Amino acid sequence: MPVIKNTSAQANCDIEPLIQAGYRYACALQSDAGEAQGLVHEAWLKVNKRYRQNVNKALLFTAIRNLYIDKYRRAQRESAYSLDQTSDSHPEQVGETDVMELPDAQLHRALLKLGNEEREILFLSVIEGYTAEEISQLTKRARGTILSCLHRARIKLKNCLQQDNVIPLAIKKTGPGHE
Amino acid sequence: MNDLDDRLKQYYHAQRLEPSAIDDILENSAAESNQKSIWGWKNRVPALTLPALPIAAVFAAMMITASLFTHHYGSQGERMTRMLHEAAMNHTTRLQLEFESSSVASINNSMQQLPFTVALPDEFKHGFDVLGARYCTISGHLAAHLKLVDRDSNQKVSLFMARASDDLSQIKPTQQGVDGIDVQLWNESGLFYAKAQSGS
Repeated sequence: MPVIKNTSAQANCDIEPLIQAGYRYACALQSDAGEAQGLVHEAWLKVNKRYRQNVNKALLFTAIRNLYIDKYRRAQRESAYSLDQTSDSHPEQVGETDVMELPDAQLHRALLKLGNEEREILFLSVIEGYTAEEISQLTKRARGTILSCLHRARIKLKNCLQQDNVIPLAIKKTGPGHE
Repeated sequence: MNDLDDRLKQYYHAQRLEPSAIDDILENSAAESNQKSIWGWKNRVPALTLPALPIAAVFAAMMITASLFTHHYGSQGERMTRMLHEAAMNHTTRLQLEFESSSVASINNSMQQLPFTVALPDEFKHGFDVLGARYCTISGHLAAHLKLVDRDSNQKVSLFMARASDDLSQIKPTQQGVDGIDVQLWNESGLFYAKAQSGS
């Protein structure tokens, strides 16, 4: 089980997987690949400058998230978009050309229909394997909120995929006991 | 593990940064680490500054002491020069005496504003006639300006006196000519005196 707490120093050979993990997390927050790359780049420079050899996934993810929130707030001041809005009206939504270049364009489209928070929590749970408790620590939200958000994200993703004529998926039951 | 999770994993794991992008990040990171910042003194402390700290502290202490010493004596020197000129100028002015009396006791009774008792120094107790007195200031202190006549030379002499406050009591006995006026400064019996007379 992955641990969100700070771990020991990363060896050089661990840096690339760490940056790749950060990039994937940035992709979950930020649907545009270029923006995600910029986000992980900036976050890496920030944490590396401060923590040098002690950079770990938790620090990098936190930096990415904080930078994303800062950036989002700046954009929000300019265009009055909400963090919880679905990406139907999100300025970062990628165009059709970008979608077609992805290996799973249908899933990509479905993910874009999730809210940013839902997509982030789904990523942290499914891809990184974090527990609801760990996600609540990282995102500074209540554990119950994480669980309900995760459940809602799965349902929404299933419906989106079904509407897009994708093979029906067996959605795993989620609840307070499942982490 | 369900199909959706597998599919999500495949989706996200397919999203990878190009090796060139990773290289860019690492190069920028290395460049930033090597960049010497003006405010990045913490990084240089172990190598350079730390052994030099005691020397720097001693040097700084010496500089402060020297500065205070210079300030102290510099200001005292300036004050003395100012008083010499004040005494010379007051001696040469033709301002009216406010209290005309040949008696020091009478002058003392008249000059109620003074924060001290008017008293002649030993040198002036014999061989001088008192003409009178007026109020004046010496280096910002209220003082008495007595005019006397030297019986031997028949020369007018100005005698200034003020309470020997902290700054005035530090004035060392001095005698100096200022614009042809012979001025003498000294402390005696808790009073600061300045004597001015035309140079012989």
